[in-house]
Amino acid sequence: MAGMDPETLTRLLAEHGPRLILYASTFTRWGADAVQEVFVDLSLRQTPPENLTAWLFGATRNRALHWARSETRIARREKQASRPEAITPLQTTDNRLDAENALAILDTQQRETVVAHLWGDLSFDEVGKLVGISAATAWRRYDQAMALLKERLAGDTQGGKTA
Amino acid sequence: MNPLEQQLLGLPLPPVPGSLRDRVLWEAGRRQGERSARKWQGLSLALALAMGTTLIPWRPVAQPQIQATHSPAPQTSQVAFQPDPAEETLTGELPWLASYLKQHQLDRELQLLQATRLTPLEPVTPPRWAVGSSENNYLQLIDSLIQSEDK
Repeated sequence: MAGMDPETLTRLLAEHGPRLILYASTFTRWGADAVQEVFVDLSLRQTPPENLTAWLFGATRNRALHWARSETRIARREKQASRPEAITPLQTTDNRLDAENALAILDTQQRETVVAHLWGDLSFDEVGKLVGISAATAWRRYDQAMALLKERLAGDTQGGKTA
Repeated sequence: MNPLEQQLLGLPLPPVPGSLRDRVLWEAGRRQGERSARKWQGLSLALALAMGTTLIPWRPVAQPQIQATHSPAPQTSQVAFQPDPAEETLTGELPWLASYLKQHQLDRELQLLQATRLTPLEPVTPPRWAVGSSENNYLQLIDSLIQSEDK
């Protein structure tokens, strides 16, 4: 069979799946669906990408943005049909602080920079290429985001919210 | 790595839905199978075309003949085909096959090859039910076109 074998695919999904879902959910509610498409694309490649992590993040970004565009179109149609309840923001059912909740205070640009650098272990140069900005801008966004997160986590710790 | 980064990395990540692995494996298998099937279909088609053009009794046409039929300006690599009435059997058309059969002493197959004559198609005659119907004109037109081509 041409492409990647199921064992390798399963291993890579377990290894990279959670952080890619976190990254994809920066852009869309359907992060898991976007990640599914990325791994299917990966399975069809004859040779693995040279820098697998950077490739996975890049592919996830493209797929997630595609889903986000669909989401926007649907939201627009629903709004025109006067059914605003059809699209609801991402809700969390758990009060425990997780990565997704912690990052919720950041804007999209800051959030994707933090996820790609911290969880994706990409250098600022790689983050810059991924997002289409310079390494210096990527670092600046990261720094601003970390300042906000520091306040957020300090506040949560004082309030006893962290598990 | 500073303490804040360590703290962030310690936070739980969103769970991977249990069905995601199954969906990925299923879809990957399906797409890989589709692509494999397409490759085989393409290969089969290419082989069929290659064999078909070899077996059909056609011969290359000289460039001036292409121009005479109002085709686009021919290039040196262009090849067109038309039936060759001078060749009567497949032996003349497939010399490589004839020599192969001779070499391997496949006399019966060689005889079949020599006996296979290239006869023109029978003229189309309209079936009885079609005579007098509105389709009759089409059949007569096709018949006359084929006969004029044969001449």
